[in-house]
Amino acid sequence: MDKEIEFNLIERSAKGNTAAFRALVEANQAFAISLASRFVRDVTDAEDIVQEAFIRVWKNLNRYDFNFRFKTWLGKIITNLCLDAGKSIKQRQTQALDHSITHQANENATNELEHEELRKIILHLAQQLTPKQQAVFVLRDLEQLEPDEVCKVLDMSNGNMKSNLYYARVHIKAGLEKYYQIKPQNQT
Amino acid sequence: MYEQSIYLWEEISPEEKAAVSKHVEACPNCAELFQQIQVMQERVTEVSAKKTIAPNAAQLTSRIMQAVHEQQRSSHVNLATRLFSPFQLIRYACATLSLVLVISFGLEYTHTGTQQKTQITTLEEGVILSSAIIRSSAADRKKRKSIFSACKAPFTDQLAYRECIKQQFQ
Repeated sequence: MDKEIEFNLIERSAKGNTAAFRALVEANQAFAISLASRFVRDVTDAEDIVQEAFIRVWKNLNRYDFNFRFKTWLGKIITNLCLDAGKSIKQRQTQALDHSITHQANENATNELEHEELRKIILHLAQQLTPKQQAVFVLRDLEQLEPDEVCKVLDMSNGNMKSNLYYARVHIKAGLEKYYQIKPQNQT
Repeated sequence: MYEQSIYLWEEISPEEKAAVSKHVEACPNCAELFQQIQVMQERVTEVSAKKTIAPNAAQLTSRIMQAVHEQQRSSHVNLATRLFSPFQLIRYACATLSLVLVISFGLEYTHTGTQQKTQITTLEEGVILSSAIIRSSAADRKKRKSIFSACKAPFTDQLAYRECIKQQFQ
């Protein structure tokens, strides 16, 4: 969405214009669902988080900082909500996911299923990370946000972000090696 | 030493990349790790390309907007509740009473002020009147003096002087 149009919609929404806010929701809903589902996996949980996030956005529009991109702000709210909700949802989903992965891996399925399996494995491994590592990994590697944007979303220094990303990738790599029997690497 | 930089290949600076590349060319272990990280990142990128789409996006939008409308309504109700709560009504009554008192005192003051103004006007008029009297008596005195001096000079006789004065006054 064009920046000017977005600012205009935000300004009108802040004045109580629900039609403008609807346009804002429609423009950013796909991103919101995609991001939330990287954390919580279950679409219903993701939808609940997205709904809560947009309500928070609506309540706090008059405090919106125009130096931020709307997506960055929305991403920040969603990430915080996901991390807050994470523990209870994670426990519930981990069991279901373990079963799902084993079941599908045994089927030796087609490419599409393999891709879906890979997706599930990566998200499953991401859920085993610490909240900060998970957030950095999801935003940087799965949502492909720029490093400085990740820092803004998570209120993190560049060094801290890199450190969390490094440990996250180490964990993901180890997990993928386990699932795909990738030969462990001696490191210098 | 270079392991972290290999994992953060996309995040490091061009100078760091140059140094890592130089090392990787000479170190087979790091070259293999580099290769593995690249493969892993490709797989992660494949996963990232597949975005979850809400099965009922329109329904979700409606749900969000419904929640927003409820939020808006409840904020209006809250505002109305806050404005017309018993405590608030007592505050309004006190404020009204204070306003009435202030207006009453104001009116009273204005009334007293008018009276004082009337007195002041009367005093002013008194001053003007007094000054007029003073002015007229001074003129009268000057006139009388000129009459007396006019009659006195050519006559020494008392009777003639009196006659002259009489004529002048007439």
